Amino acid sequence: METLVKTLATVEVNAEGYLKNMNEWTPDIAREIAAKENINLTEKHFEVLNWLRAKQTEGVALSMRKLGNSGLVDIKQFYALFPGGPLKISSKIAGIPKPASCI
Amino acid sequence: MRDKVEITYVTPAAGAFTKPKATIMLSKLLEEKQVKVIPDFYLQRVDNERKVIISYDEKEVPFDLLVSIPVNKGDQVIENSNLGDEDGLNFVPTDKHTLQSKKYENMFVIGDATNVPASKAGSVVHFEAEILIENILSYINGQPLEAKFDGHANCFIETGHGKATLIDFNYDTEPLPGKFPFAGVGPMDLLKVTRANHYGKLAFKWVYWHMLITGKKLPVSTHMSMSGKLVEN
Repeated sequence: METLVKTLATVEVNAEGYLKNMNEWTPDIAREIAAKENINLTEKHFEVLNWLRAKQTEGVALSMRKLGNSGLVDIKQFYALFPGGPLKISSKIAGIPKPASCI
Repeated sequence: MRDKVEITYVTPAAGAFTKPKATIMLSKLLEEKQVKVIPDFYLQRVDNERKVIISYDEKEVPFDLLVSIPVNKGDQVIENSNLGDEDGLNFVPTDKHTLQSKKYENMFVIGDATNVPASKAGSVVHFEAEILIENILSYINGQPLEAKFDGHANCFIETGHGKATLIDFNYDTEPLPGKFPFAGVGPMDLLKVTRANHYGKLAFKWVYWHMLITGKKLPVSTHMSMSGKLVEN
């Protein structure tokens, strides 16, 4: 029997590659996006991704500082997990919108 | 002198500004002015002996003269009263449309005290004030809070040599090019460097003291207007 598996190719993303609907996210999709960013997802990565998704669901505006205060990782570890721009890269992998900036 | 000085703008944001159209325009402007931009740089520490700033991912940028902007925080009184949000930045969790505190229904928040996702600019406080007053009155009269703040902000950006640019935006609409405050007429131009914008900025000083503070009507609406803005698809 054929089962329908969601992959990055079957979900809608915006021009920057962020999922349009965070509910379509699966851990496999996360791995696919991460691979494009040259990141191999570990348990620790998923802890951060799940935390981001939970906060996003609560409607919390995400920031680097919040992550640093999350108790999961400090900012240095966050950079080590998602090098370059950790907040925008982790948000993309977590299937949530790119964090909005106010200015 | 300017050609002997290297200027670098180092920012934790992804570019010269955070919204796409304004970023393109401001990046070009910085390029013209030969200011180098280093984005995505989250400052961890300053090594003053070696004269470098160091990011959390151990990137280094050298300096002779460092001008650094500290973390923008709310007032200590917010922390003392245990009203701040979980970031520890002393901003009060606030409904971004009604400006009512999320914790206490008889508390309304404005300006630098809020955690609403708008800039901490004077124009924002001005527009918020109009909504705040309406909603406090509604609350006192037991009516629903119908006035909604849209995140309206506008500000001049002085670009030197007697010219300036101007941006006008809100929660949902990024800064767009166009005419301001009157469609087709201006006299100011959004997202363009002009002399008229600089004179607008100078004139605003008078407008501030003699019209804004005294409560006279200005040709700028509380809610951001799309009139005069150029939208392309």
